[in-house]
Amino acid sequence: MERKAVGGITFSIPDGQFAAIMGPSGSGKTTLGQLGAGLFMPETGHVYVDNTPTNSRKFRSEISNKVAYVFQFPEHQLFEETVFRDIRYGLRRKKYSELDITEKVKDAMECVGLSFEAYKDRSPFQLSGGEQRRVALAGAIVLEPKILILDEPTSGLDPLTRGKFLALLSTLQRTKHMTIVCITHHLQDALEYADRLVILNNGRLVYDLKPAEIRYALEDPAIALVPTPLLRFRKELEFFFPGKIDSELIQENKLLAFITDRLMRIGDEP
Amino acid sequence: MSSFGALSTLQYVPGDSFLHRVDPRSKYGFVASYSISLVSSHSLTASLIYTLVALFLFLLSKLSLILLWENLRAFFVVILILNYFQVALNGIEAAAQITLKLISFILMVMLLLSTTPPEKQMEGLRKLLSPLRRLGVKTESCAVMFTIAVIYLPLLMEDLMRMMQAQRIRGPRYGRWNLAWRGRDMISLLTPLLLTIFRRAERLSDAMESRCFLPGSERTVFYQLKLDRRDIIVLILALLIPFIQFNFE
Amino acid sequence: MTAPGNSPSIVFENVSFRFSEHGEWIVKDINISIAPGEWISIVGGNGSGKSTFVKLVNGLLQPSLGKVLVFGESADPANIRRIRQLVGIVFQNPDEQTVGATVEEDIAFDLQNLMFPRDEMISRIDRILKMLQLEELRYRPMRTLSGGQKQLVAIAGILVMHPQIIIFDEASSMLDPHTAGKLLGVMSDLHRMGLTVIQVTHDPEELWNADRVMVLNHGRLAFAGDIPTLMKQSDILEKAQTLPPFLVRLQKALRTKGMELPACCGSEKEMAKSIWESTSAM
Repeated sequence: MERKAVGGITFSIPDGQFAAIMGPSGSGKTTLGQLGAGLFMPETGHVYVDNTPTNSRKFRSEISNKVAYVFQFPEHQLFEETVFRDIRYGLRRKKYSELDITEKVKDAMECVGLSFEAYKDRSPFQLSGGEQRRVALAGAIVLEPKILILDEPTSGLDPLTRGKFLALLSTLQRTKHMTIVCITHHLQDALEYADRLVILNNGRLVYDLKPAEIRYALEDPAIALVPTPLLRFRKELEFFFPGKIDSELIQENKLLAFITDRLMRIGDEP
Repeated sequence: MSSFGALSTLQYVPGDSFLHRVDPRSKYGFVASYSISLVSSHSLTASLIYTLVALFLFLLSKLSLILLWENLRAFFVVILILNYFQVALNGIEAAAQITLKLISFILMVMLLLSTTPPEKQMEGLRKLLSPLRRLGVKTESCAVMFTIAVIYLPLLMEDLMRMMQAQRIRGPRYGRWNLAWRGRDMISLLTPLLLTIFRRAERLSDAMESRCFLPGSERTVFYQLKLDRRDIIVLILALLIPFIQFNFE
Repeated sequence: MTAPGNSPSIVFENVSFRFSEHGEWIVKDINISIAPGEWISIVGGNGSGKSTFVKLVNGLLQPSLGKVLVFGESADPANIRRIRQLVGIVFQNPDEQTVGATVEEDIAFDLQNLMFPRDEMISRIDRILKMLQLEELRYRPMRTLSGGQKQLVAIAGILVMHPQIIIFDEASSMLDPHTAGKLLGVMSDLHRMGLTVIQVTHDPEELWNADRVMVLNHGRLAFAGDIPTLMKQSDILEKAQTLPPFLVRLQKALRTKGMELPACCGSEKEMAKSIWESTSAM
């Protein structure tokens, strides 16, 4: 009696979007990510990456060039003795010269904020959690993928490091025009950085929203989304300033700007 | 949960058949008796009967045929090689005999592992070892070690699987027969795997010590197993198996 | 809250720890006295020494310098069993605390180690299952439980020893927000029952429940005091690689833009009201 991990899901993610996949534990988020990366093949239906089906043997290497997957725990994907060798792992079978490889690794490291000279000879197993995740990320982007799928990339990180990591992903999205798919259960992170929230429950897609539309999902008792302090605060604020709190205000700095710029000027209005 | 290749055959499959309900100790007794008789028999007819017994038990277990096939497929190469040598050295009858014996044995072990959940197996082993207490062996402490190993092995397997996945996804796959590179890949998994094992072990031992566990010291026993009618039947059958031998030799 | 005059539950006297003679100090010069029944939150970034602190409390690590006292007894090898009966720790990873094949067996683990007779074990287990509403899970194999359920079973396994202090070492960081909230509820219940609760956490929002907060920065105690005091000096938190809760961040940011608000106490409603009052007064 097998339960489907994921059942009957249809949706597509356009180029350059930052999508957050959310849902309670066991909702199928991780499986969805793995299907997207081509780690598993669907039993029914198809998964297309850049219009190429993932279950075609012919295009398998093309697909792995286009999609990179970052696992939830860095210790599952760090293999080599030095950071340099670990990041270049993805390039091992390509016919690049040593010089090219060094360039690419340097590039990737700089993108993730790890100084090339300082880190290249260090052992990845002795780095802190945040640094390990950056190494794993560098190892994924060294192949210059168009799509990056990350499984709970910020779990176990302290709040400052979390923010920095997500900002990094956002930068990658903008500068390299990468499509970012982030599986996470941090609602506030998703609201701050994602263009789109896809919410799963029991293997089914139940909500596909823009961050500003989050209130529809919050009101649904079936998925038990826990409102963040910011969202709770917004609700209270709406009570005191009815009709003035725009639904787009779900990011910290936007909300702050709104309060200082608009609400503080209320006294000035006639 | 996770199922990958040959190791999936060693996982418990929940069910409600006769075999599922038999006490693990009886099963151990039966399998032991069966195996010994199997190995020491010399006639083709006896081997055939053993295989039929195994198949009958398989039907009794209501396990799926696919599982059986997956299982045997893993040993296919071994069976082929064995057959080749036997035919060359001792003729067809010997080859047939050994094939049947191998299949029956695999089947019995598979049945044992698939119809007994790990926790029951632990109970069974623990109870079987309990007579050793009289000799001063700290069986409860040993039992803890066994239990922990059984609980954590699937976790480590999952870690290994994820690492292999990560390897696959980060670079192109080498062909099936490109053994040199595939060997290298396997070896590069060694360091992270060992590290993971050590780290998990460390955290686990912290947890155990925090719960007042002192290795090697006395502990009171918690579990008690009971034998019922089913088990008596199985045990009697276990005792009867050697007689098949005597009849057909 | 804290009853003055009671002997403290945990005392750290000038405690420092490092792994080897030539290594770095993991924690240095920690001096703190925790009263029975207090709820203490410990915050700090990675490498701040939070987990080391926890292990020093129950003797998993021995201090290199100084003394650790639990209810007046020194946490060294002679008293270790008693100390570990008084101090229970729930760790971060639900999968790495399983010590029994079934729920019942897992909970029995401690009692078996402490050589309790079987009848006593069974009756304590009955009571704890009832208290945490885990009765239906009694015979279930541990591997079939969710992360949150496993953590609850770990808590049950600790409570069954009748401890006085319970430490949660980032116990909800691997759980989804909904389950983490339930765990927080259990912590509150335990606090109300009179246990000393120590909560090591990354999540700034979890600070609001504490009686006092300890901020660790690179192994040193940067702050130990109540919430209102901390929120007035919230940059201590940022220096320690962590953040203050959302409302405090908001208040601070508003202050830089010229809006002074009364001290926040963790209620979004109060904050919204203060803003309204402030803007109405303009």
